[in-house]
Amino acid sequence: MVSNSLSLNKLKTIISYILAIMTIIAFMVFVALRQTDDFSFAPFAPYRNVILNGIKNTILVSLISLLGSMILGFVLYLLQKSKIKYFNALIDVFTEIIYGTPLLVLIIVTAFLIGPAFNSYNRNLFGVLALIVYMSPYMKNVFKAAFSSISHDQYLAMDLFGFTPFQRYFYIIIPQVIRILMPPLMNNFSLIIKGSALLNLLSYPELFFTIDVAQSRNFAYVEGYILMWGLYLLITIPLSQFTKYIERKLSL
Amino acid sequence: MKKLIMVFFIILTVFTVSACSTTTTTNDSNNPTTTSLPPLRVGMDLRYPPFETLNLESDPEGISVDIADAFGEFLGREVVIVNTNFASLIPSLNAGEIDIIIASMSITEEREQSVDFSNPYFYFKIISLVNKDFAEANNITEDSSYEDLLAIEDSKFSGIATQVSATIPESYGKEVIISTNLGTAVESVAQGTADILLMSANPVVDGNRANPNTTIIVWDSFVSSPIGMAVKEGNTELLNQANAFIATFNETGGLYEILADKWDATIIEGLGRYGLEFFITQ
Repeated sequence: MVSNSLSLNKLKTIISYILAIMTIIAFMVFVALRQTDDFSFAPFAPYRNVILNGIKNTILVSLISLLGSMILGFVLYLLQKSKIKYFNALIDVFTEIIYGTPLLVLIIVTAFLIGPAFNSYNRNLFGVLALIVYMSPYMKNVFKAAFSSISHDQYLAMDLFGFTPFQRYFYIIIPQVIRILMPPLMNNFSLIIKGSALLNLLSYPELFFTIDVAQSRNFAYVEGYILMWGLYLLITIPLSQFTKYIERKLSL
Repeated sequence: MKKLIMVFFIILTVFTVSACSTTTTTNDSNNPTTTSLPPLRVGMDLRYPPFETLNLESDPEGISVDIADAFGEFLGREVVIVNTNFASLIPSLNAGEIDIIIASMSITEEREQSVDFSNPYFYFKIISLVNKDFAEANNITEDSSYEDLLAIEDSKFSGIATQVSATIPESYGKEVIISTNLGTAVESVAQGTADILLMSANPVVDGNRANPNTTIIVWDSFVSSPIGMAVKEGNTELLNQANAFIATFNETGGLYEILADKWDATIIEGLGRYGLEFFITQ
């Protein structure tokens, strides 16, 4: 009886999700058909490889930015915890400035002003650097929240039981920190993926840019933007589902 | 210990950054020539076919690309095409990232203040894409003149930031709704949030083809906008070379003939009316 009502519940959930997804698709179809009579993705077929390459580049810069901003974020975290007041102040000022700067502005300033000031015209590199710098304070906060979850008492307890450093990290600290680290980390990752679309301003061939180029040739603007929307969701939704899975797996 | 970790991470950051730089500098794939001259870096926005575009292999292609290659041959220098957003071309030129702009750029007074233009080598007739409902309400047809369009009060123009589509209507004191790319500029006319888009012939015709039920073309040209190459202010050496190069276009077997042979079919297919001569005559 209990298992019966459980499976019924599960069925209800599945049906509700299917209905919810269909509602959104119906809305998208409505929006698309209001703009153009003959909606078709066919004009984008010749650009399949170009767009696939764009997806690859989007994922590539996002991964580089994720790694880079994690490292820079960790450095910021250490500097913020440092006993040297100057470092604390520097991180505070830096964080304030980044929080108040639109990513778009940061990318343009980094690629067209800061890069040339150092005699470098590698626009793509500076675009990615801008993404890394932009995300680093958010990453710093992720680390701050994660490490503050290990209470002083736990360290005392570890001392008491005479844990070796390996045991401390492997059995006590890392399992707790990862659980707290993963969800905001993945949220930041999807922020990075979405933010990377702005690299199209530097003519970097990521997803937005490749579809923009295809649109400039086939003029299927409505279809192009819908396609773009769908493809970004195709990257970000599995990621957030994966995060939820990890969260469930690691929850105590 | 903590210091050690910090040093470790700083080193790691430096490595990551240098790794990025090696993965992103792959766009100068042109075969190296034996000349000792540095490559000529040519800036253009590869989103405006048939003049500047990317082919299906993501290689630069188009009339401006051919002109750039011919200029490189003329100078005996290797050519590197630097794909740059149109609005960023002049900042790139002034930052020293590119040597010359060959991007179907109209010679205008405002631009003349920050760059030096060559003699014109093309003339782009600026025609109009007009919202159909707006046209019907104001008795505008395909053969109306641009004075008819200007005479309409309360018209809203669609324009792309920094391009003639924005600067021309502004110079007449008209309201301009600014877009950042061609797509949104065309869509706003098709949807009626703006009434008129002034552009060179190709985007107007393509925009009309994509929205045949909501837009019409008014063929009378607003202005014949002279197109030139742009170099950094004071770079007279390259400017003189560019002008000497442009002077050869009209010769028999010159670049105009070569380009017409190669591109006439594409241009006629695109415009439905004219070939390359549409862009050479004033």
